[in-house]
Amino acid sequence: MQNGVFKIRLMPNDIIFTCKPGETILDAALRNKISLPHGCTKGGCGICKIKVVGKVDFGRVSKNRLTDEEKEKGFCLSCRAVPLEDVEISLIDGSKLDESFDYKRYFSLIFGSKTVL
Amino acid sequence: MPFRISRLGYVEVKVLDLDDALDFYTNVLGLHLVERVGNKAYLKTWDEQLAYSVILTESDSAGLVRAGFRTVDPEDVDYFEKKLKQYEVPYEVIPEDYKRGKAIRFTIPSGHTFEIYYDIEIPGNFLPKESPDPWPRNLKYDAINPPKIDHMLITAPDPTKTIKFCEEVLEFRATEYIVNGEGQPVAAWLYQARQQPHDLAIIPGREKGLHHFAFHISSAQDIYHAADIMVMNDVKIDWGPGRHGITRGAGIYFFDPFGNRIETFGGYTAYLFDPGAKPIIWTEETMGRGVFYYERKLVETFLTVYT
Repeated sequence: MQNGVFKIRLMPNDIIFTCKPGETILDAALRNKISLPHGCTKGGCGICKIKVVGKVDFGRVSKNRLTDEEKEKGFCLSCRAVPLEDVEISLIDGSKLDESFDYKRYFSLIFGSKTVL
Repeated sequence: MPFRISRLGYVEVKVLDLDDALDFYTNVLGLHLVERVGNKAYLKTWDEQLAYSVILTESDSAGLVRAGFRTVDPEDVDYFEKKLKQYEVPYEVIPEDYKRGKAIRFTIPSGHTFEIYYDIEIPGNFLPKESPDPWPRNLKYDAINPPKIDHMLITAPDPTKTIKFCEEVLEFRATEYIVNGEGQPVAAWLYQARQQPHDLAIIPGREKGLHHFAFHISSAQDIYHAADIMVMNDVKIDWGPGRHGITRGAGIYFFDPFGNRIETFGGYTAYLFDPGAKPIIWTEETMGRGVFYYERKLVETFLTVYT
């Protein structure tokens, strides 16, 4: 396979797509019409946090949105993470990504607090 | 009761890399670098009279460090010091800071650090004091170049309590509220002496959250010009160009290179509020139209994305 081109497998949807060399997981997903959750796209807001199995370059992210401990536990911010090998990704609660995806619910999962409105 | 705070004076915002930040804030946004001091940079807009209105601080996360509100008169700082004592709010006296004199610093119920000050150097804007033209001729032609800082929107875990604090202790007045089923304000747009729709707004969310800070944009043409510049520079736009029902302002939400949301806010469509007039009320049913007038619903990132 071309250098830097890796397979990304979204579970449990079991969809496989590829990233271009240096491309973030989010950019690759959106290019393949897969609507991974995302917000600022600059590593600052944390709403694009996902689980990842496999090596990634985590990129420049806010430490309060992705801690060193979370990096070790296999979380990344998809807007900044660039695969360094074939990787498997999933939403942080392991649920299927579909039309029922709810930003407010995902926000509660990530931040442990609910939006009131 | 007189107004004792004139306006939002400065915001200090964290960035992950000061060089990259300065490239964005000066070349794309079009702010003027006053001075870089250690891990901080002080910036101002072209029509800012005071020494600076934005402080960028290199850190390992994005978000707000503090916000400063300037009083109308020097003795108003003492007035608020007494008021904080009266309400048993702990505060620090900061004798001086960069180009600024005494400030009182305290934490509001939502965890944000606020400062109230009067003394700050007043070098003037980019126009001569005598017989000025309406705008300076040496601005970067392909930058946004907003004339002024406008307002800040913060998030609060208990917005009703934070709104009450800002109204009672800091004497903000409300132009608009979103109220819940019990009639309690859960979001507020608060103003001071300038009588613009807001210097400070509060919505529900995490403590210490910075939803966005905003710069004034003077015309529809300038809003679209700003949007063009964002696209030319591949800036991530969150929403807009669009219009808010609340404040009636036109705006664009976009992100700096570290995820801090900024707004270019079209004050030209917004009102000036008559002191003493009753605040405008929105409900949870109508708030979608209130926040995003044309979309008539909240965009998904509004309540879930901020630093």
